Amino acid sequence: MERQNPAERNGNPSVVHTKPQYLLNRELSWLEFNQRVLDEAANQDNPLLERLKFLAIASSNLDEFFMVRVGSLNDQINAGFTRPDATGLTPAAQLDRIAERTSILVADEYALWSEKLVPEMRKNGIYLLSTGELNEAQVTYLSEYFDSVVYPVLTPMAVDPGRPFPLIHNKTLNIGVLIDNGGSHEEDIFATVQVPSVFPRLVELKGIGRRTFVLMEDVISMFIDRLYVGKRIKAACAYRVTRNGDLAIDEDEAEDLLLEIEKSLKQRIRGQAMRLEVSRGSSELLTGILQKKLELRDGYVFRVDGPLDLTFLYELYDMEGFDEMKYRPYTPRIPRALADGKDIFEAIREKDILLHHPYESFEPIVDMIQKAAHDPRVLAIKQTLYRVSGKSPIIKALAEAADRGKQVTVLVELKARFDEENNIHWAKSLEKAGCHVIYGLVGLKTHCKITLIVRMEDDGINRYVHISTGNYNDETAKVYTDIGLLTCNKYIGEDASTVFNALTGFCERPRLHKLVMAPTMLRRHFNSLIDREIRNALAGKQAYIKAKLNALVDSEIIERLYRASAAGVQIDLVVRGMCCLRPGLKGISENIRVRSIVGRYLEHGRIYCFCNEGNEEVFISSADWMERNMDRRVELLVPIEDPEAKSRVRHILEVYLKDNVKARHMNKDGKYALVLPQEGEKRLSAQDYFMEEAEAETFEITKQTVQRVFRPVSSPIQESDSFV
Amino acid sequence: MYCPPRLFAAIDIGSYRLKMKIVEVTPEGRIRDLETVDHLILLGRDTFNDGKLSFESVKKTCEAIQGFKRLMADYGVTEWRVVATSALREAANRDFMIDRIKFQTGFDVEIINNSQEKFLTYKAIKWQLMNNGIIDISEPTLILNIGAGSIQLLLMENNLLASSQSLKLGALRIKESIAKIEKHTLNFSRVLEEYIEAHIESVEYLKSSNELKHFVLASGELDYLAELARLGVDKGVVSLDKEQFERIYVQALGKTPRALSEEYDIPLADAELFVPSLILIKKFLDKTCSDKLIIPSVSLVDGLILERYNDELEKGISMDFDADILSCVREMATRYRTNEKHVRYVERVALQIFDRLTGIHGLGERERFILQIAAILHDIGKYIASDPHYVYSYNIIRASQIIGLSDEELTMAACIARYHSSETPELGSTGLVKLGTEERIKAMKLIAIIRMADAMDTSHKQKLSISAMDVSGDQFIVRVESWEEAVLENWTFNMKSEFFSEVFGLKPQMVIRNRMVGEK
Repeated sequence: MERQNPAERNGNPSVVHTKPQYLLNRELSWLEFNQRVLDEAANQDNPLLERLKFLAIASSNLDEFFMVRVGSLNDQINAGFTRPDATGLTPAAQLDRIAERTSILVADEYALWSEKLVPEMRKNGIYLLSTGELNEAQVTYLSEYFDSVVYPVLTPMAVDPGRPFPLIHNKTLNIGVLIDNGGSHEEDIFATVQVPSVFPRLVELKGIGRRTFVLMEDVISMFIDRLYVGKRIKAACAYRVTRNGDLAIDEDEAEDLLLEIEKSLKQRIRGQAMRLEVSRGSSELLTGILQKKLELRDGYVFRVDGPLDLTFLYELYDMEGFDEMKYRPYTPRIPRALADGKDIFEAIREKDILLHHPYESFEPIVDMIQKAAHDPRVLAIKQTLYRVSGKSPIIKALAEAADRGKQVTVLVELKARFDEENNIHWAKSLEKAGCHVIYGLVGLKTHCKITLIVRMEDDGINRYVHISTGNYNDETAKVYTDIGLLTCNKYIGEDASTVFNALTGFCERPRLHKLVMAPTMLRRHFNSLIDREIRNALAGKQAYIKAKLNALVDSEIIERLYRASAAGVQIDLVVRGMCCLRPGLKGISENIRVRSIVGRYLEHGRIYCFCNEGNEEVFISSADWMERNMDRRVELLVPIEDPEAKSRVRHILEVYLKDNVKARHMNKDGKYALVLPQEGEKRLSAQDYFMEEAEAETFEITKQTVQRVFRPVSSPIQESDSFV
Repeated sequence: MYCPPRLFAAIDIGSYRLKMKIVEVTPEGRIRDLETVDHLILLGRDTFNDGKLSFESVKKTCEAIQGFKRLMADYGVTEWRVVATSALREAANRDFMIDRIKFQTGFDVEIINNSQEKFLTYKAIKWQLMNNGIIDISEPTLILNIGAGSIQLLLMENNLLASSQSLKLGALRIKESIAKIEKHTLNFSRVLEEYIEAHIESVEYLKSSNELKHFVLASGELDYLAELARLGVDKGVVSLDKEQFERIYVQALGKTPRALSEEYDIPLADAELFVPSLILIKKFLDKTCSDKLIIPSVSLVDGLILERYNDELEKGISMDFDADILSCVREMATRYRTNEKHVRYVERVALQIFDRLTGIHGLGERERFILQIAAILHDIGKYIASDPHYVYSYNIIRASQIIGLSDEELTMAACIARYHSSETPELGSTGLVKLGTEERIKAMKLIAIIRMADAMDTSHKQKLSISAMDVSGDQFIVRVESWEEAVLENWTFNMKSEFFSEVFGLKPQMVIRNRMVGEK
């Protein structure tokens, strides 16, 4: 029988390839990724404000890492789970290694900040002053500012035996104060006040530079005694707590997913504390109290040489007037097939259209949905929505379509991390507009990105499909690299209907012509694609695998790739983030090469390419090679068959493999080093190359002229979010 | 002129799953599938165990149908047909369910009987086999249609259906009937086998196993059987080698449903019916000399679609399915050793009269067809005894489940046979009371016709041939020619004409032109 039984599918655990020493721990590998982001902040080839932004990204990434990954390890410990992971580390051991690696990362981060970036900022006229550097006039100004603006908003809280330790909210900045109660240390009163998040962190001052700032927490610290009048303050310091933010929902009991998520959102604020950050030189006594009260694990108190929470640099980045210290602006282009305002449905009927974002604009997709909403021939629109910006024109168009009597079905993934609050709001509004809204599937996260438009045309029903590697988010589409396919291929159209039927519960076991769906078939399909290469290599035929993805964690796939390597399959991988596979191990993975690209745009698109005896099979996908993508999410793998589109995707992949500017090569220990141009080799940065290529190839400027391409996406969390 | 394609949705409320198919029919008469969706709801489990549907099942069914309705709206479907089979048919609370569906979705659910259900599926099977040419169905072919509630055994010969037999031995029904003893045995599959053997003992195959060249398996709502054959898929129709089947059979018998569900990637509920189905297949496959199983991937909904559009399909694609029913009916008449010449005569004359009275009787094609069936079968009761053979005919027809006929139609045919002879019916007579008022009137008209036709061959010698039939005033004049004396016929004709006049308000008169006399 051709089918594999499950035992075989899951791999034989005794096979040598799955030994712990052949794998890297995913958390540590993630920290290496964040190190690469930090390296971009250190990279002098990048404009200053971009470097600062990379620092902010690294910082907010780390926040989420503590909330989600460290949080989850803590959950495991609390649940008494001590089984080691694939690399042989127990949850506790992993937490120790994480603390170790993070402290180096944080030290690097702040060394870079104070030794390189602060001087560089001053050279460019941007001054961020410490309290000691303020002149008299500035102090006078701040004193007034404090009294009239800040003071009314502050809520100081004191702790004594009669009052419980106050709730310190996740990721807020606070100032802890020790008040002398006239007795011994033990009798000192601990008090705390939150730095209000309603004000910007950067308080602007008149000064010598182009712009001069002081940090809000420093302003409050300066005048902290005004909050505790008549008390002697022994010490004051800023601190910040990061809490466990993993969303744990008991779905068996969750009759109504929507209610459950609303409930859990409220709980999130109160998750267990995972990390405490204080400035170096803060009172040890104060730090000690915090560590004890917040029940923090050893090694999870970080003393930093500089401002806490560097995400305030996003604020700086967003200020007007620093354009020369940023990347040159780039406007996404409209692809040739859609130029001159050509009817999109007609264009798709002519041929498949491939969109490479952000080099090419996401606008056509928004246009298509808006057009569909008004097109009398359109009968139905179905779409999966995962992480959509609340102000999204797509949401508006869908509501409008429903209003015009179209059948609109929307699958809203509520479990999209940290966006739930946002999602629930607009999902309800879509429902009100008459859309049929499905709030995710129990036990599965819907991660595929697909739109189906059903249109009644002269020759009958036709289906138009858009499938992409990226979310339907017009904002992130400007900064994430993704690939989308527009097609009216009958088979893919039918498949799209089947996918939506599966998502709406009308299909027990979806059978698809072209698309491959997780969790039902994807793992099996990847396995068989890899196995075919193995067979071909063993038969002495040409065999290779080339792939670009965001994370490679799945141990079953890694094991298969090792087997493929051993069989002689040449494997080239571009893995942006975590990679638990160790390339170049003798006898194990000698034929595997891994590179990572961190650049101006967030690498997001997944491309998989298999040699198939020279008759290449090329796919794009929403799925990474991670357990969660294979087993716990609804994902799609899409074959690119149109010859033109296929050669384009192949071209994109090849360019990534030629990058010698932003690419970093991974060694067998999980460390990365820049790939440098060989002698005589031209410098090639894939992202720059694609921008130039798009500018040369395409023609019409997007309708809206975007002034600054690089605006952060509604909130730092959202942007950094998919890094983890 | 532009003529938009028509969209049709066929919904089957099965005993085991709800299924819907949406198709588009182009003006040129081509059918294109748009959607096939299903919902696993084991209505049969409720009905076969408790005799009625549970609250939960009714709720789930209504929700699913509302979902179907939404999907229909996605395509702007304007025509549909919703049918329900055994689980709903046999449920005590079926009318409430039908009412709720009507209230919530506006759909009228039509309950069809086993013969109709299996005939619809048969249509789709035949259509596929004919258009696909994978086997030569002019050769004797055994078709096993396994449903959740019952199975149907069909024999095909010369591209037509030769016989059909139905057994209440559907996979779900078997499973539910003897599930209770599962825990008392370690070899449950053996018990299943014995149970099945006992129930199929009475099956008549009509052909010896070396004459039955092909074996076709239709799984209807039990899609997993197609799954089993997915191993060797080929457009629409799949074939599985007998050897391969036997390997699967032997392996599966020893496995738990859970293991099967994983192995074949099918829902657990499907896997539970796997073994009973395999045993059924094996038993019947062994009655043929076929070395493979042909498995067309069609089900009831395909039959509904075909029934709706058969007449409008491209030439060469559409088919005459009534011929299959007639072929079955004729086979039945032969089995009961009726006088073929007499039957042919009555059939022909009855139809001639029927056609002549078009516009007077106000009946349609379907009634003509029932008349034809009844004519073929009117004398089968003679197999038991000649007096009162018409009562036996009636009973045999009623018990026979003629494929493709609804319960009402079957009763009508039985009544026509019941009153073709000496007894004159009244509205309250046996059999007729089982019909609705409208059907009863129709039956009376057909009875009036067959009585005249039968009278014209009282001697079973086919003496009279019709040369013309005229309606003039309140006279219905049948002009016939004969080479012999036809005193008996004339006498019977006149005797039976009273009822005819009552029904049609026309007085029948037979004018005989004796050719013997004429030539003199």
